Amino acid sequence: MDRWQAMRIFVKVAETESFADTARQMFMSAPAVTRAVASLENLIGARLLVRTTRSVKMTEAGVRYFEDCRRILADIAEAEAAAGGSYATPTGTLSITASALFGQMYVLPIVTSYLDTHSTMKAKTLFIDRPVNIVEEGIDVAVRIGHLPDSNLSAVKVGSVRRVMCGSPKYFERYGVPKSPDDLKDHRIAASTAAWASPEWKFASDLRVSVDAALQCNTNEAAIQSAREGWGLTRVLNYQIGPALVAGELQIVLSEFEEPALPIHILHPEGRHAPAKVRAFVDMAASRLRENRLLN
Amino acid sequence: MVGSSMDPRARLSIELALTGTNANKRLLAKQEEAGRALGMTGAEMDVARRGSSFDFNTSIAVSLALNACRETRQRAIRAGISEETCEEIERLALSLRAQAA
Repeated sequence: MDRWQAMRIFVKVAETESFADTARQMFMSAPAVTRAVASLENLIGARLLVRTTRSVKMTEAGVRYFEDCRRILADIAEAEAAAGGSYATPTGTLSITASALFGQMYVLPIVTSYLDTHSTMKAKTLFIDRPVNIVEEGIDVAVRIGHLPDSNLSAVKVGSVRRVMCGSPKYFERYGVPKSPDDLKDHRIAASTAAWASPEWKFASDLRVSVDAALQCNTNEAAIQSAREGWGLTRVLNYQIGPALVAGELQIVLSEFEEPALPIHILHPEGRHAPAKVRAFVDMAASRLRENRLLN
Repeated sequence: MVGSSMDPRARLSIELALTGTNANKRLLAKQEEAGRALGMTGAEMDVARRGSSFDFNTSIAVSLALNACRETRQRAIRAGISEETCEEIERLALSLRAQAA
């Protein structure tokens, strides 16, 4: 087995922390993966991984070698892509993740346009309301809402969103408008537990209000629908109700008590060495999301 | 949102509603820039130009500015907008109309 392939296998084992997962993802047998890593360790003369019954961890030498391998493999991929012409032409399958509703409403139309533009490309979406480790799960591009932790990922800011209290005009005409977050106790609340299950809602200046929601919905869509029908008030990110705000079906209250807006970023792992399929998508998505007047 | 006095977003929304899409390019660009500085999205400004608002109280204020009458004023007061603010909204609307004339 050539050394580059052994390095690829080692990197994958380090990322997945599993020989079995590596074997599955690289279409190899588990013993072949073990042999590849062992041959690399023999060649280097240092232990790279520590195997326990439950997981695989890198040694100190392994951590350093892992970073070097990733850089070297990225350089090789770039050189091969440049030589083969594919550096300029998107090829293969692009995997994209975003939160469930943002993905469906704002990212999916960009993905389908991307596929129309690059007819040989395929795409895979993972629109889900849970944290996704884009390196471990083999994701090419992520769209994230909120402040980003420090990482080696490249990030492009494309907009911002606000967490808003909303209800239908009919509801406000009938039951009045809350003047402060404390007034929410006098209103019917439909709370979405999709991403935030705590009954304590945070507002500007660290004001916290404990909300006794009469209706708890496991999806954002259900909470929004009940508000749209005039049943009660709900609190969501404003992008989730963008079309309903434009149509006048929902309106915002308590905006002066909102926390600062949250940024929206497009993230990808390879920085300036990103393959053409990623660069083409990021360029298209950044331009389309920045032009979206609901987000900017 | 409009309470005891008008906040800058409500004031700009009223201006956008009274100007509509009839403003010249320079004024539209100036309004767009002012809206951005106040943290308004493009869609919020578009809706304001159509005579409404994403914000419930601001939409009531815009209605009053566009059509000051007993009914819109009573609706504003029911929504918690003070008499003083209602008068301020009506004065602002008159002044903006006079500028446009």
